[in-house]
Amino acid sequence: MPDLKIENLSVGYGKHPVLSDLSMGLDAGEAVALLGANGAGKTTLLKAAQGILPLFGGRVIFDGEDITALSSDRRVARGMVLVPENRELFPTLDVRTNLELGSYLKPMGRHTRLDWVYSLFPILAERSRQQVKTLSGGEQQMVAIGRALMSSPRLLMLDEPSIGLAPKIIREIFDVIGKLRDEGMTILLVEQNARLALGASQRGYVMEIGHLVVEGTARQLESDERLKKAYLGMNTKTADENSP
Amino acid sequence: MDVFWFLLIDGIAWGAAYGIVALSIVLVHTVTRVVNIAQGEYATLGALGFYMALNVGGQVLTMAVCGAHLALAALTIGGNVLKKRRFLLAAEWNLGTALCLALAWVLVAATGGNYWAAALYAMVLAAAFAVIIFRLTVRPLMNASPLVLVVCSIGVFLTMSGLSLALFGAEPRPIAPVSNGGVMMGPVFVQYQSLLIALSSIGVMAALYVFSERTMTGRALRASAVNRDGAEICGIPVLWAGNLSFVLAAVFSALGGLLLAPMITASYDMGLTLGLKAFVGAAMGGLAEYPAAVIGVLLVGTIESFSAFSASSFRDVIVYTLIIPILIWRNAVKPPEDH
Repeated sequence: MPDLKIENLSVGYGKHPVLSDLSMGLDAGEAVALLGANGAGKTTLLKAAQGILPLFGGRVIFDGEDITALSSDRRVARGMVLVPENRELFPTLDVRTNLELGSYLKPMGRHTRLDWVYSLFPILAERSRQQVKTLSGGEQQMVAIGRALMSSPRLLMLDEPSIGLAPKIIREIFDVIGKLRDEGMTILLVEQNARLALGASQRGYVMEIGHLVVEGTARQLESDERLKKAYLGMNTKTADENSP
Repeated sequence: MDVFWFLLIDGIAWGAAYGIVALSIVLVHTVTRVVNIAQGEYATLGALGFYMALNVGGQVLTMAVCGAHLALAALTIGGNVLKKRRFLLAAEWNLGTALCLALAWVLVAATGGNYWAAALYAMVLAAAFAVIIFRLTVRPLMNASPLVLVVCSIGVFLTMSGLSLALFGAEPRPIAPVSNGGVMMGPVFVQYQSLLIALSSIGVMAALYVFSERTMTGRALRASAVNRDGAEICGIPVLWAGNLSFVLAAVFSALGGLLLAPMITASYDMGLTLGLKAFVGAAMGGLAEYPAAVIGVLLVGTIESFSAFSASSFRDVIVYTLIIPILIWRNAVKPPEDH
């Protein structure tokens, strides 16, 4: 049963389309990697799915229901949440308040979920009363993921969670992503680091300037020549170094 | 020496009244990015609405404002039905304020213009205007640049002050203080009205503090102020937060206006000077920090009170000129940073 289905999506900024007529889907409990070079439109796709960008056309269906007309906060209420690339935290508020705001729409069970997030990222419990802007990049990424988890999502969309982080931190974060996947959360993972992303996913899509060009299981994609082509100019060595 | 204390107390009382408006300016600016030039107009509405309610007038105005809200609500609901959204979405503010305003007016009529009922009515009236103004001028410009929003708020200011003139007339309206007389505090005599202003100002500040530190809604407002995109991702309805900030600010400003009215007589143009002086104070905190804004307005109030005594014809010149050193100080201490 598809959890998220995107049909004939067209979206862009201002009047300029970035994606046109794009369709894809995620099954419930599935972890899917969305790969592609810079500027392929991966972030745009996530923003459109979350309802942050207005659509030019197409439909977004979540849990069998057309949510195209719903605002972003209503989508969060239904259980889809985005961890954006630039994290979009509240730098002058403390860690705990940042996390609690993630559960703004779901006050029931807030404390249980807070404990759960602290158990996933123990360092956040230690930093609980610190302003987020005083945290390291890795810790901030943990706050961003933790804040998203506070809305008890069924579908978690992550935009470049590894960006700019040290290998050790990346490993920690991907361990948690793996844990969430194993617990049955549907995950849509956008990554430039293809090896890392496919390692955490069952399936993947490759995007090239506004189109999905390849679709396949993680294993198929790992050995696919077209994937390397989609990353024209990508240094495969760098990807190796970043892998845990 | 008595003169000094008298001027100081007087200055603090004025500063406290400006402070209520200044906090409104900061609240609106942080949540919606609107530098609201028209904030003082809500104080005018508060004072004149208060006068009107004390005399049990304003049936027509109340009905007209309620009617405008119902019309906007009907438009919203119609639009939602067409777009197949939940049909009450975004209409709750219009329906809610129309109901509150009608109830407040009934309360005024039932109590025959009771002082507190009239004050409540005046604040709800200002809130009702705020909801309409937010809907018509801020909501369509949610993604506009701050400059566009300022220009728009100048337009709102001109419209509102013209509207106040048309609705309430040009003649100043005397409003009696809450109670004549006062108390001796040390060497000086303090009017009850000044005490009430100071207490209300402290009350508003305390309420705002508790609201934004202790309640989830208040934290959501702060979050929207710190990072709007982040708030949206958390599922905080940013438009709703903007609407709430406009309503709270209008209620506070109306309170400031109606409290100050007995000391200056209420008139359609009182909001301009009140708003500008509050603005000078709020500039002290870069329109973003509450404590600095409070220090700013106390400074403005005291300087105004002393200059009114020693150089009365330059009183406003001196107060408005304060904005220059304040901005220089602001830039030296805290250069503006990009978000």
